[in-house]
Amino acid sequence: MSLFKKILLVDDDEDSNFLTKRIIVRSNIADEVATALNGKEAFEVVRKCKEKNGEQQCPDLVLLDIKMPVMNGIEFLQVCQASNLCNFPVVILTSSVDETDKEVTTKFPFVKDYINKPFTYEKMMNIKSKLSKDS
Amino acid sequence: MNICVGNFLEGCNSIIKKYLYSTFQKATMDRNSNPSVKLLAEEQNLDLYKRIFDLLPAIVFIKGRNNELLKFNKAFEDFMRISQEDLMTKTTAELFPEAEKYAGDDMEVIETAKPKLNIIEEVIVPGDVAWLKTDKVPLTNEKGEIIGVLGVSYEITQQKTIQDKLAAAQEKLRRLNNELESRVKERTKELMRSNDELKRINTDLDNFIYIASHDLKSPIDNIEGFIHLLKDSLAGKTTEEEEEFLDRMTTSVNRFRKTIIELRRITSVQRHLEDNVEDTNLDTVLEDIKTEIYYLIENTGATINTSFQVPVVKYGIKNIKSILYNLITNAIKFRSPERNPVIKISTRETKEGVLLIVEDNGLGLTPEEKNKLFIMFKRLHDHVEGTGVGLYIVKRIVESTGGKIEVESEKGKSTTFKVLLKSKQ
Repeated sequence: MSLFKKILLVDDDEDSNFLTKRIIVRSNIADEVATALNGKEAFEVVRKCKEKNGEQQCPDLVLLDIKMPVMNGIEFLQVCQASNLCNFPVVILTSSVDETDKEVTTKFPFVKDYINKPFTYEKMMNIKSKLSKDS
Repeated sequence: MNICVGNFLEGCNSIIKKYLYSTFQKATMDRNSNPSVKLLAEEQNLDLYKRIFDLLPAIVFIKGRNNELLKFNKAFEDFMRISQEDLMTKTTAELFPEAEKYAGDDMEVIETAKPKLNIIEEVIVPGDVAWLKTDKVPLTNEKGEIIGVLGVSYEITQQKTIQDKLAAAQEKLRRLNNELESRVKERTKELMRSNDELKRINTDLDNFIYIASHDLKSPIDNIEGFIHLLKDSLAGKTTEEEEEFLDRMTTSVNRFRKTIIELRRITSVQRHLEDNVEDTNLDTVLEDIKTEIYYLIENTGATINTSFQVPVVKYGIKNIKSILYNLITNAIKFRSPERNPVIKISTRETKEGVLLIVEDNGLGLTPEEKNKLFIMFKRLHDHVEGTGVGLYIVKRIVESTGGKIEVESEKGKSTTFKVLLKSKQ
């Protein structure tokens, strides 16, 4: 059995989503990988699965980009926190080199890691071991 | 004879007054055609007084209560340019077109028994117009009764002309000044507009670099990720040449990424230039930097010695850290291969501000290299890794608060950076 039942990738860059998904599939740590192109879409995924309560698998890990259109990563974290729906770990996966992005996002209690792109197999393994330790 | 210099009425002595009074009496009699009255016993003295009277440069005249001209001196005749006879026979209305105006002043003096001084007026005389300054005083007889007006005038036409010219010149000057002032205002406005425009362009440029660097970084991250993936997939199946292709792709991607990151550093400096000034402990900042570059220090055997005469400076903490970080890493990067790097960092108080000195024992610079030192993306040593923005950033931070940076160096021996730290008030 895989470590995660469902990983949700939130990134407006489809190439990045493709790459990340490939690495996750290869590393065989998730049963399912879903994608959302911005924070709003991601929140919809989370909200729907919570509403349907068991009918739909909820993500047990979210890999979140920061700079996205419609609703960015920071806004998504705020909405999640306000709605009390975030009972899953979030890992920030970004191209941003802004220190403030790191400062702001890592303050959220459910943000467990902050990693810079490119996403690699090694980085996936690091997340895996970190989250295993936490749980 | 200077008895009548200045204000005639105050300056003249009794001799003149006596003459005027006696002649007034005589003239009244003459006008009244009453020859039987003997007016003056001392005819000889009278002659002397008359000569003095006529020698006076001021225009002197006496008018009776009915505005009749009773007596005048030579200067008066000269001014009027008509014969004494005409002057004596003509009425004041005939002599002066504006006689009524003058009569008004005379009546005022007679009725109030008070002098009227400094009457400045234009007088029309045959063939000309002149300006006079006139003092008029009441003239009394022995009983103290007012019997007429004594007038003393000075021609001030020339003065008046000069005054008018001066006023006109002043007016012109005032106009020119106003014009100049409005032009300066207009120009200042234009400059301010240009300045705002430049600021806007600068911000736009910064924003452009900021956004472009992010947008460029995402695809380069993807390329790098795919190369990794490709390498994994092809592991053990590639030829040596194909391995080299992949390695070279990775190297190029890394260089691209580094350039983007440096571009971001420049815009981030711009954003931090407005940092709050605070008391910053240099030892603390230095410890932070040492931790960050621990491996660089370890691997090169570098030593950092400090002597802070001023241990705390008023400066934005991010900015002072950036200055020290760049100068220290530079000193280590450009070390001499013949010796371990030794960096001496010191501060001292000067009249202009705190001077921060960073001295190394590295490669040193030629005078030509020194001139190119602070140019963006200028790398002077090819064999040393760097992108050439560090010193550009330092200079920008230092100068943004009015400070300056200087460099002294001896090729092959050492380089010393002297940074004058000024905090914006």
